[in-house]
Order: sequence, then structure tokens, then C-alpha cells
Amino acid sequence: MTAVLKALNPVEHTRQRLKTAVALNPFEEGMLRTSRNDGSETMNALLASATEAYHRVGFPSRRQEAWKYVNLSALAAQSLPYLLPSHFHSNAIEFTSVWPKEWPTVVALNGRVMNSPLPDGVTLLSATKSSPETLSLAGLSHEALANNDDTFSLLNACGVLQGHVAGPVWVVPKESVANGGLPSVWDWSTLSNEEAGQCAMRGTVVVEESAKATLVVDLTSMGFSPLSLSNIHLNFSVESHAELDVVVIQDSQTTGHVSLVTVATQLSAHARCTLTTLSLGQGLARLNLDTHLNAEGSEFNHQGLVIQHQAAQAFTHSVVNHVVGNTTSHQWVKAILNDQAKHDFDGTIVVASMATGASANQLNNNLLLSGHARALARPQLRIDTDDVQCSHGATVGQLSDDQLFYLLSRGLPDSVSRCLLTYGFAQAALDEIRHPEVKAMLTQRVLAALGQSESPVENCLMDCTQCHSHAHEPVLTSANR
Amino acid sequence: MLHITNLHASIDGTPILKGLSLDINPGEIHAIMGPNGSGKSTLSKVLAGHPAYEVTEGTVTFQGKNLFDLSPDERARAGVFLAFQYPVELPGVNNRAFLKLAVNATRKANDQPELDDVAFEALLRDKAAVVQMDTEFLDRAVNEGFSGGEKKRNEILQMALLDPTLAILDETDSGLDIDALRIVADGVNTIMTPDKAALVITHYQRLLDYIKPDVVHVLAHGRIIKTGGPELALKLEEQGYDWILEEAGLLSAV
Ligand SMILES: Nc1ncnc2c1ncn2[C@@H]1O[C@H](COP(=O)(O)OP(=O)(O)OP(=O)(O)O)[C@@H](O)[C@H]1O
Ligand SMILES: [Mg+2]
Repeated sequence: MTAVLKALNPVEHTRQRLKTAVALNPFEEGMLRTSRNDGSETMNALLASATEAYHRVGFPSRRQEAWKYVNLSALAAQSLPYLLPSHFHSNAIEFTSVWPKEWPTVVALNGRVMNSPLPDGVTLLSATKSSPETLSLAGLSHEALANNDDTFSLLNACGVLQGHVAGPVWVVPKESVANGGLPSVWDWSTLSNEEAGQCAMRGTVVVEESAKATLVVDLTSMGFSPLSLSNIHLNFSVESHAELDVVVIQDSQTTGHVSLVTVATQLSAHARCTLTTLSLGQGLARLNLDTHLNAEGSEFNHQGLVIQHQAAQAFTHSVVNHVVGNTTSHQWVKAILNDQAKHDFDGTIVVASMATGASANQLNNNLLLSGHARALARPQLRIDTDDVQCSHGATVGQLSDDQLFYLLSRGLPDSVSRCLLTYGFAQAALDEIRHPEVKAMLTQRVLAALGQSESPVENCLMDCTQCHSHAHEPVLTSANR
Repeated sequence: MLHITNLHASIDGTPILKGLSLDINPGEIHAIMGPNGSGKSTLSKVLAGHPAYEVTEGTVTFQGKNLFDLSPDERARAGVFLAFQYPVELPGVNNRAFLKLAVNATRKANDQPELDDVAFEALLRDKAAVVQMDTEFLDRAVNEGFSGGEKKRNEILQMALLDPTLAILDETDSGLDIDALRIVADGVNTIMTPDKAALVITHYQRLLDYIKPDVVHVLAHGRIIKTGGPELALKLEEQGYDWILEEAGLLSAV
């Protein structure tokens, strides 16, 4: 491999940047220039740390492994202003919700939290009002910022410190049980047709010792813009013996939309986090998972489902860190790709030295529904100890001819048969959702997403009344249990 | 009802069926026996329309229509049913929902009103009782994690629900316990009426004690090399295939 092609690790990348003193691109300039300096001393100091960290990290380069196939050149070429308030009423969001109506809900619209008063346990990040502890949980401490090497997470931090970005913090107190919904909607119709814009959100969830929480984060983009960016950073901190069941939906119905979502999860002793992610839409969607199993007995389960159509590009970038031994992680990412859609799975399992008895497995299955769809899988293991159980694997395939023939031979039309098999493939991704209502509602969301493509599944939804109505639920084993 | 004339079919360029002819009239049960690899499953899949097989010569008419003019799903809706030798598993596809879709697809094609949930449940309970299938299997994914015998029962349940004009059973008796064997036979016997027919592929004369065939064929080397009555099956059970192969001048070729 030539030196030019070789991927740079973040440190090398930084050195190179410093040496060559790269000029800021228009996007970065726009972002860093908006710095308000009229805040408190704390805010100014944190903002200075974030900006300094940003100058160290810089804009992603495709020479970095983590960004290898992500084309952000359109983004880099212009400055993107934050979205103005939407004319929408926050009630408009309710009908799309995939959690029970009675759950406490924090609604963010165009980056502004609409609730008043806020549900119990929820506060909003503020550089002036939040305690240093709260800021730190949200990754806004000098130390966290200095160690952060994610461009968009740092820009998100700048945004929240300046008050451009909603930062709900939800604390589930010790030994309690709580459910919640965190819908965040970006309405690009506030921009005039040729305008580009961006929106961000920084959500923090702390499940204290022995508490149990179920949360649905629904990130939806609607309306049109030639270029729009949503930059979401979620911090989940699950303390000892606590459990967090969380669903994150990354739904961008807007072409020209770049959806960047980071989920940073920290797990303490005997804590468990079950994360279900759903990446839908037709723009560019990148899901970045940064997971730390910090103490013995902790467990992380991730079920990911990617459904993309047309020219959509989806990226699942994940690093699961087994910092200590006797920790468990399972990861299963499934992608259904239609039309010319692409998915790149780049998943690494890291097992630290001395982390004996760690158990990690990772699987990526890609289903190509069109001859033009593409999937790439790069599962990696970085293991510095002997006594571990790790497995990983990936598949790329089409619907099985024999399975299809079986359904046809029972008289089901081709379109319905393909539709059933596609649902069947998707279904396993929803299996770990323990809340039956959430699972049923999410199933509907998945079905709707499958119905949007140009090819077989849509025909199915047109042809087959069973598939169209609520009676769809029993088609999936999950909804039926 | 079914007329097969000089049928030639190949898979991946390898000829498997080499001039097979067979006629089945309404009300008849035909059995096909034959050595492993002789082409029995190939015949059944060609009739059902599996895309991997290429028909290179010959004709097949079903109820006066050219079978090859119909797509696999059209054949099914026209009344051709194949119980597979190796039923596939369909992860994530709920068995009950699948069965309802299948029943209604055929009803719709035949201008019958589609069944609603209540009517379908009644029918399903009825037919599940015939095959003595635990309703627990209906809530699972189609064939997923089913034992060999359970898969075969599920095939018969589908047959009973779809009530085909021509039922083709490919070794449905293999791997079944004695009770299940009777259940399969009951399944076939309940759908049989004077206007229906069945083609039963088996290695064992035992099944034919329960399903009485009118005609028994021996398939070898891609052709029917002998046809007789039920006594032929008994003779095969006792003596094997060598004598027939020898009679047909095929023994050396084995
Ligand atoms: N893809 C293929 N390419 C070449 N030959 C094939 C292919 N698939 C099947 N065959 C061959 O076709 C022949 C007929 O197979 P078939 O399954 O019809 O036999 P069968 O009579 O049903 O046997 P059994 O009693 O074991 O079920 C076998 O010799 C088999 O190996
Ligand atoms: Mg066979």
C-alpha cells in the first residue's frame, strides 16, 4: 500500500494538520465564527477548550479510516446557519410518535425544546446554569473536550455552549423506573428554497444506580433543502446495576440531508444497555457508536436496522470498548438496501489488555434488493488479551431464490413474497425491544420505510390489502408474541 | 388432468429429466418411486415452476392449459400444490399470517370472497386438527426451528388449507413417525375427491398402505421406466430396483 493511501490515525492526522496549518473551510469558518463571547466565564472557558480541540481535530478527511467513504465535500464548501424556529405546532409531532402517548416527552423542534414545564428529572443544559457535574455528563468538561476527537461532536459542543443547540438532560433517579420520549424534528421548510442550514441536539441520559429506563429518541427531518445537516450527540450513562432500553430513530426524509448521530454510552458495573437503532431515509446518514464497558458485569446489546433507498448512503461506525474483563457485548446490524443505496459498516471491538473474560460478538447482514445497491462491511477486532470470546462476521446477499420459490408455490404473488421475506429479514432487529407497544409502533415505522422504495416492497404495499392495513402486524412474528 | 409428454429438463446445463411421460386422470392417485438421484424432486419442482430448472423439450398440460405458460404462483392458484421434500425456513415470517395470505390469494384468484380473520381462524383450527398440529406452531416463523417431522406436517396443513386440484407430495413420509404417517395419509385422503388427483413420491411402500395408489411408476435416469398397479410397490419393497433397471437395460449404466 502506498503512503498516500494509508489511513491516518487521529494523532498522526492532528500532527499533519498542525504542520501544514490547514486553512479552515467555509463550513468550519461559519461554525467557529458564530462564537458569542458575551457568556459567563465558565462558558467562555469551555468554548475556548472546544475551539482549541476543534483546531486539533479539524474537518474529517477521507484519509481517516472512520470517514473513508463519507463524502462531506458539499458540506465543507459552505457555511450552514442554524435553523430558525418552525411555524409548526409541537402537537404536529405527536401523531408520529412511536411510544405510548402518556409517556413524559421532551419535544425539540428546530433545535428548541418546546415543553414547558419540563417533565420530572429533565433539565436543559446551560453553560451558566448547569452544574459542572451535569456539564461533565454531557461531555462538556475541559478534560472531555480535550480528549474528544470527533469533529461534529465538538461543533455540537460549541453550539450548545453558545445556546444554539437544545441540550436536554434526563436523570433517572436511583432505584426508580421511568419511560420517556425524546422526539426531535427538523423542519427545513423554514429555509427558503436555495438556502442550506443546520440543526443540532445534545441529549444526555443518566440512569442512576439500580434504576430502569426506557427511552425513545426520534430524530426526524422533514421539508426540503438542497443541503441540510443535523448533528446529534447523545450521551448515555448507565450506572451500576441500572438498565437502559433505548431506541434511536434516525429518519431523514429529505434528500440532500446529512444526518450525523453519535451515541456515546458509558456502562458501570453490572449495568445493561440495550440499544435499537433505526436509520431510515434517502440522504446521508451516519451513525457513530462509541461504547465503553467500564466495569465488570456490564452488558451492551445493539440491534441496528438500516433501510435506505434511492441514492441514500448509510454509514454505521462503531467502536465497542471492553475496558475491563467480564463484560459482554452483542451487536447485530442489518441493512436493507434498495435502488442505488449504499451501506458501509465499520465496526471495531476493542478488548483492553487484562480484560480477561470479555465476551463480544458482532454481526452485519446486508440485504440488497436491487442490483445497484452496495454494501461494504469492515468488522475489526483489536484484542490485547488472550482469555476472551470474540466473534464477528458479515454477509451481503439477496433474497434467497428457494425462500422466494416457497412463497410463490403457495400462490403468493412475487411482490408479496418479496415483501414478506424483506420484513422477515428486518424483524430480528426489533426483537430485543422489550416494551410491546414500542415494538408494535416501531414495526409500523419499519413497514412504512420499506414501502417507500421504488421496487418490490412498494408494489406489495399497493397490491396487497393485508400488507397495507393494520393487519400487517401479524406478518411479523415479533408483533404477534 | 395432467399430461406430461417427453419432458426434458436440466439444471445448470446438466440434463436430469430425459423424456419423461406421464398421464394422471381426475380421481387418481399416482405413486412415483425410484432410486436416489433419479430425478423425482426435479420433476416435482419443474411442475411447480422452480426457476433453476430449464425445460428443454416436451409439453405439460394441466386441465387443458399449457402449464409452462403459468408462473409458479399462477400454477399454485390454479390448483397445483407441491409439498417439498426439504421445506425451507422463513425467518421472521409469521406462519399464521403467511397461511392466511396464501389462502386468500388463491380464493381471490378463483373469484371467491377473501376470508376475514374470524372465518380464517375457524378454517385453520379445522385443518390444524386434521394434521394434529399444535397451534403453538402457528405463532412461530414459517418452519423456523421446526423438526423435520413438524415441517412435513406444516406442508400437509398448507395442502389441507389450499385444497389443491393436484397435490404433489415429495417424500412427505420421510422422517415421519408412524402416527405422523397416518396423519399425512389422512391429509391426502381428506382433500381427495373425484375431481382431484395426487402424485405421491416415496421410497417406502409403507405409505401406500395408507394412501392407496391407483398407479405406481418407477422413475430412473430421468424417465418412467416401469408403470404398474399397487403390487409393483410391494415387489420393489421386496426386491429393490435392480430387476427393473436390468429389464430396461440400464443396470450397467449405474
Ligand atoms: N445444480 C445441479 N447441477 C447438477 N446436477 C444437479 C444439480 N442439482 C441437482 N442435481 C442432480 O440432479 C439429480 C436428480 O436430483 P433429484 O433431487 O431430482 O433426485 P431425487 O430422485 O429426488 O432423489 P432423492 O430420492 O434422493 O430425493 C441428482 O443426481 C442431483 O445430484
Ligand atoms: Mg428427492
